[in-house]
Amino acid sequence: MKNYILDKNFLKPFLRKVMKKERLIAPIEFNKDIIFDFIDEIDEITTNFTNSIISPKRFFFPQSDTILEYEKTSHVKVQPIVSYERRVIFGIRSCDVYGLLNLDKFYSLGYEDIYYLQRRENVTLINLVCSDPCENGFCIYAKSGPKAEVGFDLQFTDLGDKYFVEVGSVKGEELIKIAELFFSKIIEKDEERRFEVVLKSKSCFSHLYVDLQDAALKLKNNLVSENLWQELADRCQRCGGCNYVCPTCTCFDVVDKDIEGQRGRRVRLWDSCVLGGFTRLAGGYNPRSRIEDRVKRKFYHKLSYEIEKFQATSCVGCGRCTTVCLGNIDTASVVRRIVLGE
Amino acid sequence: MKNIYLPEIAVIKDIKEEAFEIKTYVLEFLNKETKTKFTFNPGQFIELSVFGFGEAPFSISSSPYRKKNIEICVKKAGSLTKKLHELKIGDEVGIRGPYGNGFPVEKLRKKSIIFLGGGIGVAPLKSLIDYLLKVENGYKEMYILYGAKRPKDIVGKENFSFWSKKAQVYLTVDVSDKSWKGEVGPVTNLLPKVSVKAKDCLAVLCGPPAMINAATDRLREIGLFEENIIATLERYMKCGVGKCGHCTIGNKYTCIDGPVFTSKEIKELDKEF
Ligand code: SF4
Ligand code: SF4
Ligand code: FES
Repeated sequence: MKNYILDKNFLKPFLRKVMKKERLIAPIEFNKDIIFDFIDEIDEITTNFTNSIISPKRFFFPQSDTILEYEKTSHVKVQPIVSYERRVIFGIRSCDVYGLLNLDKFYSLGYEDIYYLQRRENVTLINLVCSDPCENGFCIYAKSGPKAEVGFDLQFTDLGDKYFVEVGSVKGEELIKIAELFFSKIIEKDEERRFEVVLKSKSCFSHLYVDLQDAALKLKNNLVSENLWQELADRCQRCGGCNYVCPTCTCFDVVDKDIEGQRGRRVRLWDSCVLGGFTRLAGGYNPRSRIEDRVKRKFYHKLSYEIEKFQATSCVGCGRCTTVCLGNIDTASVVRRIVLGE
Repeated sequence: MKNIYLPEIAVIKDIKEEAFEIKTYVLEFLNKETKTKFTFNPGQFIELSVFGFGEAPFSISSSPYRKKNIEICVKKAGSLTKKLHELKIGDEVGIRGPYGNGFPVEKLRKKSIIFLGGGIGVAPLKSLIDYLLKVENGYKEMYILYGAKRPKDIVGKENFSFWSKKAQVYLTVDVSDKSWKGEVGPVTNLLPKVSVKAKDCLAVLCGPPAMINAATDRLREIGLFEENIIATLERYMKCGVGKCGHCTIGNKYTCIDGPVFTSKEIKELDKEF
């Protein structure tokens, strides 16, 4: 596919054109945090950020998502609520692009999940290469960053006064066609500069090596002592924070909520596998009532089971669980301890 | 793309009081096409919607041979089942499914079969028993052993008298009362009444986890192969389609890989968490 140059002065005009055609999602500053949100004003967008505190998975699998509405009149009527809105996400990071690739496999395996897959089909992703890696990320070891090799529709690398633009798909090519005049041809020097930017970024990771593959192998071969799970269990605050911020956690609950009178909606909500009631049955029986078992299964799932199923761990190294975990039992720390044979 | 979360509307055609706080519901799809196209294997389950109260999984208790409608058996346990117990004939519910693997009916062909059920666990067994009675060469001989807490907790008394024409049926209760003339004690106590060639015999179990464990041990003692002991597992199957994560055991999904497993598989799953 082709590459282009976009002068930084043209970024906003380009995104403005995009906004006229599709719903734009981009990073904004909110109470000193960075979040991805729907954009109404182009000036809200910031490009001065490492990554958002919550992954953009919520635009595909929202924290709270009405999946259908029902009306209990003489006959019950059920109306599915599926979003077909065409959207563009600007500024997504490589790790989160790989997160979506993982979700794509999960939601299309076996029974297809229309709520996720429709949103996914209708989105165009503009990935922003990290020239200055985030604090806790270890994408470099998860092979998911700081630059993406696949999964993006357009990928921007910051060359100072301009962006190096890679086209990754037909969708990306079509987005450029919206404002072709803003994009110019690359010259050889641009390629070199991009190479340097990525190389420099790769050398800036402060993180110690996080060997996901080795940890997964040790789990598979049961080379982890029960003491480790016991200690992790003691440290786990059972808040579910790690699951909520993670770009690849998928578990959900479903509840009905009355709207008024005989109308109501069925809502799917993020759930967390470390919470005590996660596996509890209506009669009270709870097969994973022990926190040790819940924490243990969480890591087996993220690392070992996912390799068996999808040939890759579902940890993409975004480092968000490191940022939020109150007990310091984030994936990076746990992987390191597993590898050390603690 | 099909919307797997969209329930089809069904109407409650009949309600039978089966036992203390247990009712059987006869459900019929409103949509004619769904009504004729809906097929399932014994041991499969549906996700039932009680609108305003959510969804919960229930095994189908009627035989696949029965067209027009299906039956489920419901014990009052949580808020959804409580509401369901208040519903009346003519009320509407939602159905998704059928889901899960179901019983290995081919494996049961021409075999001696011991059914072991506890409490409401007779529901999926009923679907299988009624199916095997009808299918040609479905089985060689059948023993039906069933245990309930008290006589008033026995689910579907008339089923047992119907089955006793074709099978050897034994019932027991944990706690008897004046009306009860039969056996008292756990359902596994009924096993000595069975005389079969163990190598040629399969057992199908459904009931609470403690019952399944005890029965599995006894059946192994009398010589049944582990792969011939078959049980359904109970898990919180919220979505039924391998997505919500609630029903996982190790790397297995009860809703897709199960809910029917052999005792050999269960032994492996027991090591999981
Ligand atoms: S983990 Fe890597 S790709 Fe993700 S934000 Fe950090 S540096 Fe960028
Ligand atoms: S496990 Fe932690 S580091 Fe890995 S993808 Fe999830 S939030 Fe990011
Ligand atoms: S019931 Fe949702 S994954 Fe099995």
